[in-house]
Amino acid sequence: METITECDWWWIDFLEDELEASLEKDIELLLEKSQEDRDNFETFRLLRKWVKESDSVNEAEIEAHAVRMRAGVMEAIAKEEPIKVGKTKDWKNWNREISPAL
Amino acid sequence: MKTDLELIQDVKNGDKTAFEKLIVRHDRFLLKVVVRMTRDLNAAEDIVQDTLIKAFKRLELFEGRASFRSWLYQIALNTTRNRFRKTSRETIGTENLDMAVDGEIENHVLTLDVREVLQEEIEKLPARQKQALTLRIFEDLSFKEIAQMMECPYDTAKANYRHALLKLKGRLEGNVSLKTWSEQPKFSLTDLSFNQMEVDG
Repeated sequence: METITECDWWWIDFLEDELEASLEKDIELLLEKSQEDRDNFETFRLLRKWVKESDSVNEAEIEAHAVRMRAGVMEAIAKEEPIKVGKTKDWKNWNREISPAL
Repeated sequence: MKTDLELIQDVKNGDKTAFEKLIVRHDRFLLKVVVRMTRDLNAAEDIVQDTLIKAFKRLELFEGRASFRSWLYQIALNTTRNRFRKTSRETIGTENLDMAVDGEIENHVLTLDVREVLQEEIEKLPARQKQALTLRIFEDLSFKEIAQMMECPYDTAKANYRHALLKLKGRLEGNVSLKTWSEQPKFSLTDLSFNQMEVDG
C-alpha cells in the first residue's frame, strides 16, 4: 500500500492546477528551497507524462471504427418507432433496469 | 451549433438525423473508454453500438440533470460489464482489481518496455482509481466531469485520481529494473525496446 503524505497530494494537485490558492506560496517556497521537494515534484510530473504516453489507443483506428459504427447505429434506429415523449418513468433507475448488474 | 440538449429535443420531436449529430460528438470518446477496458477494438465497437442504440431507445428518459456524455458513459460501462459477465469472468476486470504485487511481477517487467509496464500497472489499479486516472490523463476531463461520470462527489473523484497516481509511483519505484526517473525512462534490459516505442509512438 502506498504511503501518502500531505506533500504528495499537494504535488498532484499542483500538477492538475487544483491546488488551494492558500497553499501556492508554500509550494513555491518548497520548490525554491528544497532539492528533495523539487525531485519529488519532478517524479510526479514525469509519471503523469509517461502515463499519458502509455495510452494504447490509436486515434486513426478509433476513427475508422467510429465511422463504421455510426452507420450501424443509424441503420438500427431507422427501424425503430419514433420516440414516445412524455413518459414519467423513474429516469434515475432506467439504466439499472436494462443493465441490472450495476 | 446546437447543444446536446437541443439535439436531444430534436430527436424527441422525431428527427432521427439529430441523433447522428449527437453520435458524432461522443462516439470516439466512448470507443476509447471501452477499448481501454476490453483491449479489443472490435468488441468495443460492438459494445458502443449497443450502447448508442439503447440510448436512442431510452432517450425520452434523459432529462439533462447530468451531461449527455456522462449518461452515455454510464450505459457503456454497464453494457461492457454485462457483456463480459456473460462471455467470460476472466477477460475483463472492471471490479475489485486491487491486486497485490507478487514476486513474479518483478521478474516479468524486466522483459517489458516502459509502456507495457505502465499499462500493466494501470490495469492492476482498483476499478474506481483506474477510471479516474484514465478519464483525467487520457481524456483530459475536469474533475467535475469525472465526478459526473463516476456518479460520485467531486472530492471522491479527485481522491481516486490521487491514489491511482500514488499507487503507480510506488509500484514503479519498487520496480528493480527502473534505473532513473528521467524524461526518457530506462529499464535495465529494455533500453532498446523503449527507443522502439518512441519511434512507433
